[in-house]
Amino acid sequence: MALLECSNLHKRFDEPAVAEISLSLDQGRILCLLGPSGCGKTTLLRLIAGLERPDNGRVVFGGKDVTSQPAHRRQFGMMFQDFALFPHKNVSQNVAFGLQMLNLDPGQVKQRTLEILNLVGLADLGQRNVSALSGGEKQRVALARSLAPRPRLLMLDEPMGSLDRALREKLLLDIRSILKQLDMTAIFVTHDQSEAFGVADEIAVMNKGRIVQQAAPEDLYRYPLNIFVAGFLGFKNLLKGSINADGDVETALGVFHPPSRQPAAGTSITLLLRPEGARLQPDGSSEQKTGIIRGRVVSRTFVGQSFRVKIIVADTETVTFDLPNHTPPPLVGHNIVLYLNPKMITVI
Amino acid sequence: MAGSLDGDCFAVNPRTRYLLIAPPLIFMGLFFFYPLMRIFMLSLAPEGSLDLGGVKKLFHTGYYARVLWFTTWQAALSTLLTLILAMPAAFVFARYEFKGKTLIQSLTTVPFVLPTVVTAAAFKALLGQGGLVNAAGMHMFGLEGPIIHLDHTVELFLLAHVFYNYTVVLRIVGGFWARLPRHLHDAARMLGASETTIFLKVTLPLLAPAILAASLLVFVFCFTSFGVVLILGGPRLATLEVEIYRQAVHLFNLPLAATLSLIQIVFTFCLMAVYTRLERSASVALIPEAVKKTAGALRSGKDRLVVGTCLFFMTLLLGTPILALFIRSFLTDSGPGFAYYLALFENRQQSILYIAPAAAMLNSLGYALVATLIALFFGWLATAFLSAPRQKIATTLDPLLMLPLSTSAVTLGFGFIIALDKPPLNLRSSWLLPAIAHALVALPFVIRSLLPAWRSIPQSLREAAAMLGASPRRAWIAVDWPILNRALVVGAVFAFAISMGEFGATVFVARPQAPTLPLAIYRFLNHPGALNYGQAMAMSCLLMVTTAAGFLLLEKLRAASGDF
Repeated sequence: MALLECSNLHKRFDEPAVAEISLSLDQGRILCLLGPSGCGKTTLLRLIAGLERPDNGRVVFGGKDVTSQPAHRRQFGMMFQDFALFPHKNVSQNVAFGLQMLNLDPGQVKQRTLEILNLVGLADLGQRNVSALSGGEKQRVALARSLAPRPRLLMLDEPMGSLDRALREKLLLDIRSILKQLDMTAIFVTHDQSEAFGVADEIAVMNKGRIVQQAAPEDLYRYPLNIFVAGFLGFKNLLKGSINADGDVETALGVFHPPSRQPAAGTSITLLLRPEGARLQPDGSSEQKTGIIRGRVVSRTFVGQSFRVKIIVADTETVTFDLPNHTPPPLVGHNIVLYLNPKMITVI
Repeated sequence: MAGSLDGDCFAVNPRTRYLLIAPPLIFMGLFFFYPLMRIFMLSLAPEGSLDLGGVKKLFHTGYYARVLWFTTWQAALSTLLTLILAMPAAFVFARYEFKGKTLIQSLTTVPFVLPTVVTAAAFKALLGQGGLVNAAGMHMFGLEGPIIHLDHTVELFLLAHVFYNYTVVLRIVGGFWARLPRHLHDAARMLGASETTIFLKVTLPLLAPAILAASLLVFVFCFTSFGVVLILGGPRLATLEVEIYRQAVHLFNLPLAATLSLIQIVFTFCLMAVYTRLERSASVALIPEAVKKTAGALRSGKDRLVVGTCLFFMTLLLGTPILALFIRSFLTDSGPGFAYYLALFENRQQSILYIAPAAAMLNSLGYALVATLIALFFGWLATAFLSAPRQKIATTLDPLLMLPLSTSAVTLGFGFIIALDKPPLNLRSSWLLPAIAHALVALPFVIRSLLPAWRSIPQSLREAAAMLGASPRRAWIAVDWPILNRALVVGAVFAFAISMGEFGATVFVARPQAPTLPLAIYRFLNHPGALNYGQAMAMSCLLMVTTAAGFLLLEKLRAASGDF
């Protein structure tokens, strides 16, 4: 049995915020709840935390039903979006708070506070007033504070929300390595897919109060279950198509042969062409019938590790690809022929 | 503690919450709405049935129209004078940074918080018949009589009104001005506007809501001004407030006093309603929070001249009356000394009107203590209720609880004596009555001190405490209490100071044998004789020092709590 089991969780405010959600999470895993704002991910987190009471459904933790247990008895930890550091306490006092609630003796409190501040690399700032900390430091204090009482489950509600991009990427890796080091079971809420990929063992994509797909990051990326998930992951090359008699997919751009999961002939499907899956086809002298796109360059942008090229096919469909930067693609207005790696094509 | 309900993460039965608001509402009902209702009944139906004779008479007899006209006229003139004199200071404080600015700004609050009797005493000490200016003039020029005759003139209490309300304009307009982004000025400059054009076309229109709000507030204060007019205006000059007092206490014409009170209530409520709307739209507060400074240092000689002149006139207007009060309290017939202060503690029973100053002081302290406790108790309960988020009823109840703020003290006191003098609520001779009146006046201040602090506590802090294993009670102690206790002290100091200086309501409700300090000052000022006069000065000084110290402490507390 999994460590955390939620079944049929339901919560409505003005409209259903969390609808019939069931999920399970094993010890030591990091689950990420990913979805646009208003999808119910924070509400789900708060239901699991005990900060909200569900209208329906159960939360079972370690084989015990905790649905009606108040938050402060669950021994869960939470890192809040705005960090929620106590403004009238310094760094050490903030971190020590949860330990004091365990009624540990002052010596132990002090020792464990120091340990955890060391772990997050803030040992020198113990006496600092929290209002004098930078955003990144605040985030570490919040992490240290939520970890100090050794929670059975750690929840992180958009913990990167207020930090700038460069800082986020570094802190994200730190958080993952600290959580793994402590073998912590954690649920991480975010609306940013790159954050989710950076930190999670598995990702649950949410929309309108429901979990749309739950999978490991690479599976999610490779096989998004529907257009919503694909769109939310940032994929733009989504083509309507249908399966022909050979089992290939016919689209306005041409015929493609995806590697797996072919539905029956005649079915209408959506085809996802991943942007990194295209290569320039020299001279357009290809014998291949499938996987070839012929079009005209609409825009080309050098973005560092690749050229981002937008092409238009038959004056109707536009698609965008990231081409390797070692060969400059044709200029705007010129014709272009691309070959698409079948492994980079997914049928939705 | 009632507030611990907030710490609970799960919804508390909403009906339990209503138990919190019930006591403050009952308190308000008994001691605010019931007396007001009695005033309504007495003026509109003196014999038990509807009779609009009193109201009609008011419009037909010229005298009362004159009273209303005089009240409005003097309030308008006071407002205009205050604006003209305080605007330059508002400019200087908004645009310049100089040494001692914070201290000076704090000190300008002192006149505003002085009890009205003290203000009146201070102006008597400076410009009255036996005041310092006259004494000095007579001494220097060897004259027999006083050179200025300002006693019992409009000019004298207009000056007192300016003295009292100066800081209202300075704070509201100055605070607003300081928040006007400097780059607007620069942008206008780059577009080719001269300094004058910028002031007229950019600054003034932007300041307009603040100026209007400040003017309205000053107007209300002057319209309801009582102690200053009563003492400095003398027997011939009467505003609405003074007239209510005379009709009720001296002439015992209660229905007429009730009708005048009715007019007073209607006027002030309308004005305050307009003010509240303005305040909301312009987001100007009487006590503005610390703002990001847009002020610059003094760079040129012209800057120094402007600031220097402004500070000089400010000192002249705000400083000299206070200084005169000090000097007069030490300046006895036989030279400087503590004679007047020492006399306060001697017991001389020379007349039946005589009140021992020391006893009055003790009364005042006792009333203030009880009033503070009452106001804190009801204020705390009301705030605990109002602070809950997403509560529609709070938006109705909050202004309701603020009503005593916009009711004149005289009306309140008058309501007390006509409503609470017969069973089932016969408190006429109860020692509690002044304390209750003071608590009622102080209640809005207590709620206004507590509510922002209470609401400022982010729910996530309480949740963070809960997630760290704190029970609702422990979470409350760890999160709410440290932030609230400071606000509680602020509310307590407010309530205490208000009670110590309250005059308009006390003059009605205090028992003759147990007067408060302001009442004692009033009586001593009205008695002839240098010793009586001197003792009034000494008592005023003591009252001034306590009140000023209390409010300067508040400024410090508020500045310190600015972190949150």
